[in-house]
Amino acid sequence: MDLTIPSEVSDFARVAREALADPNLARARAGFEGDVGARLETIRTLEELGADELDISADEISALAGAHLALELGRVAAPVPIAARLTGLVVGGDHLIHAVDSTGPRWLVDHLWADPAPLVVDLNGTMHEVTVLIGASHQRQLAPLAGLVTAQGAPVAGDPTLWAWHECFAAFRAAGACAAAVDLYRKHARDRVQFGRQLKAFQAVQQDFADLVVLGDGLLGLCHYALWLIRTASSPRTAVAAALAVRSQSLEVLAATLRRAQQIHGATGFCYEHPVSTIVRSLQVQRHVPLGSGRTTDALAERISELRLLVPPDLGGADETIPQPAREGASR
Amino acid sequence: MSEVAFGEAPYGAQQPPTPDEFRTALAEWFRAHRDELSGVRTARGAAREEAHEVLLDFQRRLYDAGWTRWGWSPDVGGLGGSAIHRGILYDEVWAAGLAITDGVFPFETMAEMLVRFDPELAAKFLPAAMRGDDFWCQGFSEPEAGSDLASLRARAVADGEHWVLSGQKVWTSNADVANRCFVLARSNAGVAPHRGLSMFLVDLAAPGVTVRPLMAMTGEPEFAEIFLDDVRVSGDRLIGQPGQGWTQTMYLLQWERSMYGWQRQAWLHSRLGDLLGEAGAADRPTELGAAFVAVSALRARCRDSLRALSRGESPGPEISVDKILLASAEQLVMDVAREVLADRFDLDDDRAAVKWRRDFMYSRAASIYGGSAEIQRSIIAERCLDLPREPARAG
Repeated sequence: MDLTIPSEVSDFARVAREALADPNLARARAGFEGDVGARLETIRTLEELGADELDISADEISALAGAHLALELGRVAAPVPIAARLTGLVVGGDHLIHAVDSTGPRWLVDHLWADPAPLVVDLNGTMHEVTVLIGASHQRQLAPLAGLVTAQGAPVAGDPTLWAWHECFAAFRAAGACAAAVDLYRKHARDRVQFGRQLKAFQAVQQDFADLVVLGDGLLGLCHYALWLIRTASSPRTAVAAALAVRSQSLEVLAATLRRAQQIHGATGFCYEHPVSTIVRSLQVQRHVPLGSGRTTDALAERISELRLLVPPDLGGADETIPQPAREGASR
Repeated sequence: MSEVAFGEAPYGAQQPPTPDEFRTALAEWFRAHRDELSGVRTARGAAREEAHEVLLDFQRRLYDAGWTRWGWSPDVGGLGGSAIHRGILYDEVWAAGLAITDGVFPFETMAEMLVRFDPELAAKFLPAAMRGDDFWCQGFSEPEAGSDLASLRARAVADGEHWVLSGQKVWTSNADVANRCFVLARSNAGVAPHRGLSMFLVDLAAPGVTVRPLMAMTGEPEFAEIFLDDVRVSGDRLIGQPGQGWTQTMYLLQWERSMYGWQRQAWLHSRLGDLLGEAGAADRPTELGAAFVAVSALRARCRDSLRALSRGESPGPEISVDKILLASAEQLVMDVAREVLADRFDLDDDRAAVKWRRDFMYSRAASIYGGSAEIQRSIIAERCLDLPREPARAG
């Protein structure tokens, strides 16, 4: 696996970031629970970026571009179903495809949109068209855009790898949110003075910040690794295992990062319109859908044998000499 | 409902009811008035605005029946007894499936301080607040003075028999419904920062006072900014003596961290009880057990602190342990609630689900208000464990 991000992808991500940084869009997002306009404007931005033309399954560049788009949308807490949208692009783009937990007859879906028509896929690859039981409601706190669906008609044969794609893109979105939260943490620690010192001068804050940076970097690395595994996996089980692993890690990192980012801001971070508050609220559903942290690790434990440590192919090339250990009794 | 509990001999200030007598009688009173209090049960699950008047009315009924007067001296409108009686009241309110107005939180925090530092003001103002006719709030924090309260900038300038207050307060809980505010202001800039503070009891309807509510993550205006533009305050509204503000604040923080912790554990116990009635509870025995342990530990700790305070002792900096336990327990209970309620937590629009969501979001502030978790840990490290303070770094 090569961790270098191709310039086409980093350029695409940079353009996306600039487009999403529009101040009007940011203002709308702060009250995303009650603002349909924020969704529609973000969708228009995505269309202008050519997001729907990404051929996710075709090559590594497109897959990485999609993943980094999810990261940028996570960074700005955009109220759009990017993971479902990108997963839909894996198989042609006619549908949004949501990952669900198919235990029970009803399934909670984040960002339930009617257009394109949503499909759901579970860990075993079973896919369904759905009927909406409870739709989005802007009167609801926490999960205004979530909905409850149930199967419509007979299941459609699908591919568990789609569940894996969805969760991998969701993990990239989480990584973006964590990166934004860490940026807010850094700025506040620099700007806020108490007891005659910037908060960043306190050792506890420094160590806390270092922890967050390590967690965020680790998650991003694991996201890329999972994406590569899913793309190159010889079996759907390996792809699903990779997705469960990255989901598990993303949940831990989200919990630690969002709590600390909100904590350091004090009461300010508890205000409805503060960016850290917006990020925390926008991720509430993803943190337990399709599986909560406990069930994610349980499912991973069942599939852990699928994940083997793979040595990157950049070591042990033909012209590289591997030093031999000295043998006992060899002449000195 | 205008009977006075234990209003006949031999009970009185010299012989208050024992805790057991008080608890038994109060529980019986709740049972006897169950039908009349059904509105209070409903208000328990209602949004803030809807519940406010119902809960104030309930507080008046409790006062008129004498229940909230036990625990306070007759000098301030009480019937005698100690903080133990008040603690029992909060236990029994929540155990009976009822609720109590948010006004009791600042009341319990400030009232004991007022009794200690200004008995005259206490005699004048406690009865109305006890009854719910007055609603208090705390004007302490400022935009540049949160954890570092001693650096606050609101000014109080003496002007004959008045003081003139100017400045800004922020994060004042329930200021939008309160009518009186305890304002901490700088009355002497020529001494060490914490020595130059004084506290005033300010009417929020006074000319020059502007209250601007702030929307919290819960979607409700949990707190507010208060702007003081040359507000004239009568000299008899200065609490105690000039320069006593910091001492008064340190004293009331003990009550805030112990009695509020006690009130909160009673509430958390009742919320755990609500959770056990949910369909998903059977799937989460371990998580519920952990939440129960946390709330039990909080109760044990706050009980000891409350007992010490009711004996006139000072728990001192160890009270920070109570605050940390409170934040941990509250956040854990709400985290478990989300797991137990599952889809219902996110999507249902009935009162119970809305209340759970609101309580979950509010719990994120439990490690922030009343002194952040970081401050509490520093207090424990430096003042309880005698560990050296972090040195300021050069440059």
